[in-house]
Amino acid sequence: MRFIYALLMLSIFSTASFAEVNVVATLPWIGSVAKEIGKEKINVAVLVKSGQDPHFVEAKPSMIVAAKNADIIMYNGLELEIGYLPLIITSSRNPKIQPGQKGNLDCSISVNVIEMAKTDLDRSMGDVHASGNPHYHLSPDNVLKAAKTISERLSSIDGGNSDFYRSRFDIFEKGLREKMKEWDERMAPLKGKKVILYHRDMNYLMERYGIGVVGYIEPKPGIPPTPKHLQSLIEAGKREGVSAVLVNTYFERRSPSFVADKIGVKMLMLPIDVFGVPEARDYISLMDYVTNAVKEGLR
Amino acid sequence: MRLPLSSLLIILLFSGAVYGADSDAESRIKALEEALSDQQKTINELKAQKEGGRLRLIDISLDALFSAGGSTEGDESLQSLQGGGHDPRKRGFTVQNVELSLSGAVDPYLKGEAHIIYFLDPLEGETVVELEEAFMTTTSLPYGLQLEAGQFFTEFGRINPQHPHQWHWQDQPVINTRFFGPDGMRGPGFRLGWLAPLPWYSEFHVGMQNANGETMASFLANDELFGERPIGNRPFVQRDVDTMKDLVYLARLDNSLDLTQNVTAKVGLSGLYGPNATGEAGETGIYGADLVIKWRPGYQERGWPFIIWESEVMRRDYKADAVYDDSDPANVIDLKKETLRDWGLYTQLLYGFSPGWAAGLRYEYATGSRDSVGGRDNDPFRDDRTRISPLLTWMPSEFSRLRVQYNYDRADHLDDEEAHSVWLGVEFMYGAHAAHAF
Repeated sequence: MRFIYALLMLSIFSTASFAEVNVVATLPWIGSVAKEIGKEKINVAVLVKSGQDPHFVEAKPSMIVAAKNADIIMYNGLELEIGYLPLIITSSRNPKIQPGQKGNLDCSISVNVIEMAKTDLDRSMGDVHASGNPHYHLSPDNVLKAAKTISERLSSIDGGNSDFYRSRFDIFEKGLREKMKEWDERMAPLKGKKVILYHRDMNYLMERYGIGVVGYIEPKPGIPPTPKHLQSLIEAGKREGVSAVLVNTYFERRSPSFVADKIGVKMLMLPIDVFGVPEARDYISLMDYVTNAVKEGLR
Repeated sequence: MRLPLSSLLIILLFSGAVYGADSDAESRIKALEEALSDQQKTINELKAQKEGGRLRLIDISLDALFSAGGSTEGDESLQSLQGGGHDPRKRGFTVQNVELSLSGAVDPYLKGEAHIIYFLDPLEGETVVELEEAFMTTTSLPYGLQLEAGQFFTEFGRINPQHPHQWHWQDQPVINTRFFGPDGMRGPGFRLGWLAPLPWYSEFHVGMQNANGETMASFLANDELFGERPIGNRPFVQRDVDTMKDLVYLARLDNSLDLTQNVTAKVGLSGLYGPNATGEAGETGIYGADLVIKWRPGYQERGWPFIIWESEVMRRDYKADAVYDDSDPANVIDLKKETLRDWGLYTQLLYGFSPGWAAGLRYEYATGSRDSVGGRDNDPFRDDRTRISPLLTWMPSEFSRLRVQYNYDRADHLDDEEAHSVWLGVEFMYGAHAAHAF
């Protein structure tokens, strides 16, 4: 009986939401930004959980159902979701979200990408992305650009509410710009410090605040560490005088804490996406948390 | 009149100047913003020039499966003990499967996919090439419909529609090799899928395929395959396709639910119906149920840890026609009409315990009722069989895999009813390979 009731509620909900735009976002930060802009005019479903490595996600049938009902699918792009998103989009049979359609939004189209390949790449170099480092969302400038892209696209598929989306974007921009000043002030004293990262997933943050990256726990992107590599990393860390080892919460802690111990610095676990820690409820609180934690950790 | 007008002009001028001081700053900001956005455009254009935004015409990948190992059974006996065409089935080395996959968008309405496989015949050493699959899939039919047409694996259960490199174990389940032959059931035809408008994943498939050929073992098959693996040891009867009744029909229902955030279940029911190779009145029905439950916790490193529990049970009703042949008076064949029933199952648990590593255990059982000619106990494809297979897998990366598997076999047709085999497998894959379905 309870099951039937739940079914009934589900079907009522799915019809009640008819007038709103159904947005499917791959990553939590995209869902958060879209919700800021669309508010009650949109429904947002997020496919990847913040504790999951966005490179290694399996396309679950429930994701296909979400994509089937979507008016628009928003994704990070730069090949980050290549392992599951094409399958989800094809299996959804939803003409609105097929590549090239208005309902297929690659949020990276207007962002500034770093680390674009200057030479030919192949898989002997690990999980490499020729079009640049895909983890651009820890750069607030880039998220502002992505937010603009999102608001423009929402206006385009839901023309009746375009003024609403525009004004919501203006509010988001104002709030974010104010916060950016705060973060800039907070991070300014860290300029010139050096760190070791696990993966190339915080480079945009380091670049914005002038923090040097001496090396990575991974010998190559997506390739697990070897003892020999860790040894050379410890030497480099000591030589360069790194202040901390920064690790995204979903990685193992054994190797980075070993490296941090040997160098004699702290290992910092940082959330990389919204809901990675309970305090990070949306994009701005995520950045608040991250900048505070980095500042404390690199003191 | 003149004075007020000129003073008005002066006032206007002044106010303009005052306003101008304000708007000057604003317009400079505007100009700066415009300049910035122009720069951004230039950056994007330069970026586009550098990357060029590729035209993706065809994705090509190659996947190779090799194995080495040994068994208490000799090579001849291994051909039926390891009944899958891509199973490790030779003392020494086996080239199990080298698969070339080609896929891409055809046009705004269709996607294309082809898989061509190569392997070496384990006894003769001959190179064998097979057109495993080549089909198109529609991408934009309305009402949740999707049509696939061409040559493809029959959507029955979980193992049959998968390519060998998707299997977690190195060999096919025994029951699959009995019902669907060495290379899996596939053939030319079409299949229509419908994603029902429900809040959970529910897909219904109907399909139609040719009943004849070496990949239609339980149906019309062909002379050569039936000669090697006769069902019930009956003689092969050539049948022509006269009506729609002489084709194979499929129905499948797939449902999936996320039981919790981290646990997903998928349940399938499949049915097949078509003519068989025992005579004009011969017909086959195959029915199956499958269940997979996957656990993937919220915190995963490179996709680990995970647990996958996968099971299938299936039954075949093989209605064999009567045969009477007295052309050889010394050996008169007189077989009555009867329904040979077989059923079997496998259940396997795979635990990814540490990044790159997984350990698993598979249990299988297969049996039947009604005798084969010469006795069911002597029929390697209908006797009572149990197989237990522990497995250890190591994946240095997403693209390579090493596996070691031990098979304990108990089969009535074997001389001492038991066999032990150990297989070490190597797999590598390169190129652009599409993601696999759940």
